[in-house]
Amino acid sequence: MSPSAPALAEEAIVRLPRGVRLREDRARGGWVLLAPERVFQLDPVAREVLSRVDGERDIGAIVDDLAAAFAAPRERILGDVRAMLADLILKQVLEVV
Amino acid sequence: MTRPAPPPLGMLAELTHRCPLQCPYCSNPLELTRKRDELDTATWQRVFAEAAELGVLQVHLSGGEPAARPDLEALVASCVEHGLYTNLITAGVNLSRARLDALAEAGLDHVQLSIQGASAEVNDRIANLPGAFEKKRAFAAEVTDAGLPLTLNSVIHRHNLHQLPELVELALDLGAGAWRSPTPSTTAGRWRTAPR
Ligand code: SF4
Repeated sequence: MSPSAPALAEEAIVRLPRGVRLREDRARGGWVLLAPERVFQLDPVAREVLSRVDGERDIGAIVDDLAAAFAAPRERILGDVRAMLADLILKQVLEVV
Repeated sequence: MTRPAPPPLGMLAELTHRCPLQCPYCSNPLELTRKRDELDTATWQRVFAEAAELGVLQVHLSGGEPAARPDLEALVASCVEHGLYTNLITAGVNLSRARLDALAEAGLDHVQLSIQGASAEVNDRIANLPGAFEKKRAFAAEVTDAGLPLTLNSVIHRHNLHQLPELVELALDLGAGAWRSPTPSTTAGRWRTAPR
């Protein structure tokens, strides 16, 4: 039995749970997500998304911001962001507020 | 052609060899470092700074029992100051609620609690400490109550293998995010210092 990814509404607000931290990895370059006994090396896209996760803005607002910053189609960004965040929730490094 | 080793992601800091438990498989060396020979606070703080500079991202504060160090709060604060993700590996029998809160306040990220068995009878016999199991249960509740993520770990061997399902049950029951079994070490350093 494997848990399935949660469906994330645009109004959903997510945050990093206690015990998970986002920081720059100066020694190797790039950014990482630090979790209990785990280190996730983030690609630039994941970093752009996660740096906007503040436990206050909802997913819709994060997507608006990304669409403006990267002049990309909103629908596509929404799909990608939803998939990425749902995956991180499954990995227990993100939670819905 | 040899390439230099990449910087380590994690560092295991054995703060002390002192521990209230006496597990037979303990990997502490035969000759325990005495209290007065342990690295002092300032030295550890320098080590954490250097580790962070080197590229270490996570520090596991272990022992022995790290709570045997009265400066544990200061050491956690030092790790946090250097941006290190800080994990406390403890047996959970000698850490008061007040100290736990102080550690959480200092920025501790995660607690890993060792469990020797899934019942008081098995746990306390392996740990050679009556009452340890109940203390661990109470400590686990305090950890989650303090808002800290908790992982349980158990060394599995023939005296607790039959409790495997119960250990997983126990982890769920105590609100642990995970339960793990580290590879048991092959040295049994406590034999000489704590004959059973
Ligand atoms: S293995 Fe047991 S005796 Fe050894 S440090 Fe860990 S809890 Fe203490």
